[in-house]
Amino acid sequence: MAVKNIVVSVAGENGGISTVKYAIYLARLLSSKLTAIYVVNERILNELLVRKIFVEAEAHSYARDLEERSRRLLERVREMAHSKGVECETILLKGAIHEEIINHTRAMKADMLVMGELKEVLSLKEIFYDEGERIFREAPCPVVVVKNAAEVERLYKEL
Amino acid sequence: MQARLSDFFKKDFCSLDLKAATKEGAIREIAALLSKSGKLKDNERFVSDLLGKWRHNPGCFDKKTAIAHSLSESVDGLVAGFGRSKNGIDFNAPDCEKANLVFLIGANPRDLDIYLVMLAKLSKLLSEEFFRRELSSAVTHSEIISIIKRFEVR
Repeated sequence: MAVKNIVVSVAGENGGISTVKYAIYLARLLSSKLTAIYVVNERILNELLVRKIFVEAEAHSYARDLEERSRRLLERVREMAHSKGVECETILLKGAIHEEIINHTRAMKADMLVMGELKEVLSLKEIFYDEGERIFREAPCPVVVVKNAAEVERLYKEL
Repeated sequence: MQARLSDFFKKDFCSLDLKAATKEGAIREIAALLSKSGKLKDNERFVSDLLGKWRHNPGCFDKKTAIAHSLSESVDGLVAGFGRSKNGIDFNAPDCEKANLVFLIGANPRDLDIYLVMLAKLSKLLSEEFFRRELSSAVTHSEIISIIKRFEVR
């Protein structure tokens, strides 16, 4: 089975770039199309609003910040892929992270999902509520969890 | 990969007996503890950012609990501290009487994602009455950290 479509879940700059680099490496190696998805976590803003941690203007301002940041990040991802000769589509979504990633991966009939490292799980609650865990468990296709940033960096530089 | 509250709350950043009687005093007292983290580049600016934020958002979770939080360029990464006041602190907010439990979270604007996640986790824990009750009766700083750890993973 050829791996034609690879989706990478972009989770932010901290550690997220290493995940992106490995996805670019795989896409180049397998001659696949790469789609980078970033989900603006609107659900968390709504939760904080409901719990009165934020006032409305504050939540809106953070939503705008998150959106601007994620656009810049996705543009950076697109340029990184381009510089390595990989075609990369970028998609910005809003909502609950795991739901959006799973739904889009399914809708796009992705052959592979690349995501960042998962944190050590200390309780059942974390398995059920951690966004990364839920993506990993509910993904409709094979999942690659990226570890070892130094090795990823080496592979990326070799491309 | 998601961080946990217990990655940031440390016993050195907790006070079981805040001396302050005002919200500004409470913020200053907890911020002074957080300066031990080495993550505060400018303590005064951090306090000023928190107070500035508080003018628009009283930050009261309920009648007895307050959360002071702000993004601030004066923080490296994210800091989190806690203070408990026996007599309570007047936050001059409509929903708040006198807060006995005060949380403080600050983060660099670059760390907006983790700031939101930590606030969401803390507010979720604070909605549990047993969590608030245990924090109110903890005897040592280490106990405070153990309570946070226990509740966030259970």
